[in-house]
Amino acid sequence: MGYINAISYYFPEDFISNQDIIKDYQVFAKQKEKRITADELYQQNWIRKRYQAKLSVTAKDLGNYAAKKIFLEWDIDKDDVEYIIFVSDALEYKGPTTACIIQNDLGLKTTVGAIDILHGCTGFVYGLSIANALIVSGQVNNVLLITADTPTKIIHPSDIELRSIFSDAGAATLVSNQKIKEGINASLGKFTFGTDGSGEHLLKVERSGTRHPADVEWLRQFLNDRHNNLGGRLIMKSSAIFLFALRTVPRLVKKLLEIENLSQNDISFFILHQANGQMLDFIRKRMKIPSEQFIVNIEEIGNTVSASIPIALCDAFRENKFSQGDKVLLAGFGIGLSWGGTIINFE
Amino acid sequence: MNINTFIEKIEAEFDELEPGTLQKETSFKDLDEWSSMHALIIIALIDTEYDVVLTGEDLTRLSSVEDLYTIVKERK
Repeated sequence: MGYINAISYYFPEDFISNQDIIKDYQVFAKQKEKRITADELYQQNWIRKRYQAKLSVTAKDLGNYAAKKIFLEWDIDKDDVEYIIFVSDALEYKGPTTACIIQNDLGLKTTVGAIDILHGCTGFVYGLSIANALIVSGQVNNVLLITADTPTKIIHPSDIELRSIFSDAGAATLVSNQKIKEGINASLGKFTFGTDGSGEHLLKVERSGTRHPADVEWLRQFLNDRHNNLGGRLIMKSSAIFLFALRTVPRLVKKLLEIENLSQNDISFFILHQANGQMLDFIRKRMKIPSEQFIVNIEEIGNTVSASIPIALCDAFRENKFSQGDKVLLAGFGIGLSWGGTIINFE
Repeated sequence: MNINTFIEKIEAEFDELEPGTLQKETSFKDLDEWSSMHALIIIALIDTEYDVVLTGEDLTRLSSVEDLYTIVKERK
């Protein structure tokens, strides 16, 4: 059985306020007549602040900072790491594998295994499931799972809705075959997944890969922008994604409870991907989950993609929310379209 | 599009509603289950299914399911 033993995370130094976003929007948006106040923007997603990495800083860099913190904060010997899983939609290259570069950056042993998982908001669940599978099958004992992303690099300043939601961050999670001294020490349960590739165009980074790569003409439209959207542009059909989340998350939770033979009352806390505060509250109300059992930490952080669940889990642990015997349901959902979850146990 | 499939789509989205609760003349805002969340779900559903963007003001102005159907049909 695999255990989540430690989590540390890292935010870039710079953050953006709602006022900053509105100011940029007024400069870059063509429809200047649309006026919105900082408070109205807050009401849409319950976010006041989100982080933005400098142009020279990548998702891997944020992940490396988080990994260095996990070794220090939890007193982990980096030589114990036998496998690196890097989860991100912002890989360094199409080759080599970013996790391979991380081995060298962190000075990990050259005997480690290293893979990337290209996933967004479901990414932490995927990373946990692969780490757990590696451990349960006896291949390794300690996996360093890094979930990091830099969505701000692929959002145009005129896309006020996306810009107000997404945030850059990195998280590092140690998954092991046994508990550690003074660790989080939560055992992993069964996993469930879902995929609907028909949603390809509802949420995607256009012009970011081999399908319709960015050409000179496409890039020219961003000449006056801060980063020229060199890595593509994130587009989202928000109504469809909102409905997707509202439809999918309750079913995902139901399926998880079924496979674990539990009822909703057996769950002490729900930690969903921190997508959008208002939307999360809708889901909570629909599922009749008391707010004190439903963790939302998005206000001062934003939606950090695959890093959001470990950040919320780490904060809740540090706030001493969890007791012996607690079961905590984790659920990710988003780009793909994709969803997945698991229930962890504080034994 | 016709009004029956329109009603079915709305009912399917609202777990709280028994099928058959909504009729053409139903004043949806008077339903016991109605909340601002349902207003947003209706706006998102109509945008996704019919590519018509309604505003909160539109919904305030309308009362029956048929009014809603008519405005979606007009703007489509």
